[in-house]
Amino acid sequence: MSIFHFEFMQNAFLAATLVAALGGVTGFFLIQRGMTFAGHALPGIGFAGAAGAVWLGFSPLAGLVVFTLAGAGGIAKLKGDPRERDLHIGMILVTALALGLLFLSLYPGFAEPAYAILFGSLLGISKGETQVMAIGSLFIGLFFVFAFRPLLFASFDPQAAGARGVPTRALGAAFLVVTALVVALCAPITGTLLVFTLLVAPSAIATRLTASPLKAVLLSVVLAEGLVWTALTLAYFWNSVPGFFVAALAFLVYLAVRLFQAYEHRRVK
Amino acid sequence: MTSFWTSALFWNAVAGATAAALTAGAAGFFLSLRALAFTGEALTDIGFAGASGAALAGVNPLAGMAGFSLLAVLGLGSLNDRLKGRDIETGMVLSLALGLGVLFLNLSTQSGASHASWGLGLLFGSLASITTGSVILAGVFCAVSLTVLAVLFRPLLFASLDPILAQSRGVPVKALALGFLLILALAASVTLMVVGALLTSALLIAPATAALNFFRRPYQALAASLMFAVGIAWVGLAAAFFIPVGHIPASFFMAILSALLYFVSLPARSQRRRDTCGCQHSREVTPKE
Repeated sequence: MSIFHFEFMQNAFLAATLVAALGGVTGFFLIQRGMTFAGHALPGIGFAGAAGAVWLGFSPLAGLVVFTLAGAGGIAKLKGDPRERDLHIGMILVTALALGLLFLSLYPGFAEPAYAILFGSLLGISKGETQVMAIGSLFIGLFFVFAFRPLLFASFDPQAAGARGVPTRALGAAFLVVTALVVALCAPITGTLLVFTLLVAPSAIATRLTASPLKAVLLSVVLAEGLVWTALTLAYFWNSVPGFFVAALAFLVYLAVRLFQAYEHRRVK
Repeated sequence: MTSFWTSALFWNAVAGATAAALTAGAAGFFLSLRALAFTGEALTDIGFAGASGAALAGVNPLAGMAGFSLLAVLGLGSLNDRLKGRDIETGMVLSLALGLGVLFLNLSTQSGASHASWGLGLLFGSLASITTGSVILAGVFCAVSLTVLAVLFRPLLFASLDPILAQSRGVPVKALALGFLLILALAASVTLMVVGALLTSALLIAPATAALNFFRRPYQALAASLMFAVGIAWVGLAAAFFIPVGHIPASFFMAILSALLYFVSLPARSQRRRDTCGCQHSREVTPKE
């Protein structure tokens, strides 16, 4: 029987294809801007929103979006050197997770939809949510198409970009908003615990393989698509959680690239 | 009420939380000095994988956590001399550990070995389910960590504050770094048992960072870090036991208290920055001053 026989698998594949493309691009800029820790914190903040929405009887996706956006707003306001900023983000994350725990314990019974957001699920995405995700992805895709070059400039050399009249602060804030939305869209599939992997792993591998930004972004998107498709297929046949396969495959590919490069390096010497 | 005060459940929770707070307060002091917050996070995620794996294999979860994270430190420590600074690599290891943890949880709930809500205890802490065996093990981990840190206090402090100078004076900086990571693995495991994998920074990072913001002398800061950690643990426990509304877990109160403490300590930090002559934080000092 075909893997696409069930409607939930069609939804899962469609949604995963969209978020993998967005995640690949977003992750590239997160790494370039030294903001991977924000990519680690935003999903956790989003989980609190999902748990709160489930408690109040709303769609968990709505809660995710509201909380990741608020989290991005808070992170955008932080100043100071990166180490200090990451500590602040870490404590904001702890506060949010504690709130998530509070919502979970206030919910009468077992908050199934909130757990689906935490761990990810093949069954987590309804048709309506797929449509919402498709529209959201379209807008985020347009942002990257139009803002790609200035954002790249602002990420690599903020001072020069500022001097040339690129609105670096506005771009940085807009990028954080986009990251928040991408995190919210990724969470139902990989689970908030493993959104970080889908954001960072493909770009971490791609930037090791090529120095050209455009090539790295394209390669990162291709890798992300490969990861989620393989992970969804394996999760379907082994009746397991897709997030694990995303993480394990990403780790294996990253390790293979590292070992191969170390070998090449030694051979050239 | 009398039965509550004599119940093993309550005293296990108190003893477990105190052991965790003492270990985390001491280890967190050096973790903050060495800027290893992200490594601490990775270690707790590795501990989460170990605990969920232990549940699948029917082993004591605390033993599983500590075993897994000690092995991970030995493996990673031999690959890289220092985990610090390699954020991407730490992130990849953290991802794999979380993935394994999620898989083990999924397998153990599918096989009926545990209920799905048990996974929640691993992620957010479950003081009510600490067994006497885990408390004894936590006590041993606490005693070992505190003894090792006390014996190595001066060289470790030196190596954490100025690794280059320490190395030139013959302090075995690399061995100390590995040794500290092993202690950190123990501390992360005990903390995880109490507040859960997602909230470990409540005991591991917030008390020590706040203490270092308030006090400049190492001994004062260390003492404050221990007191903050134990205070957060006890007040959190008391709030969970005495606030009757719902069944709000102690880790919620501990996390909120720690975040409050951290943000309250921030003005003291910038005040101290202004007071220092600028030798250590020279780039923070503006020309006006």
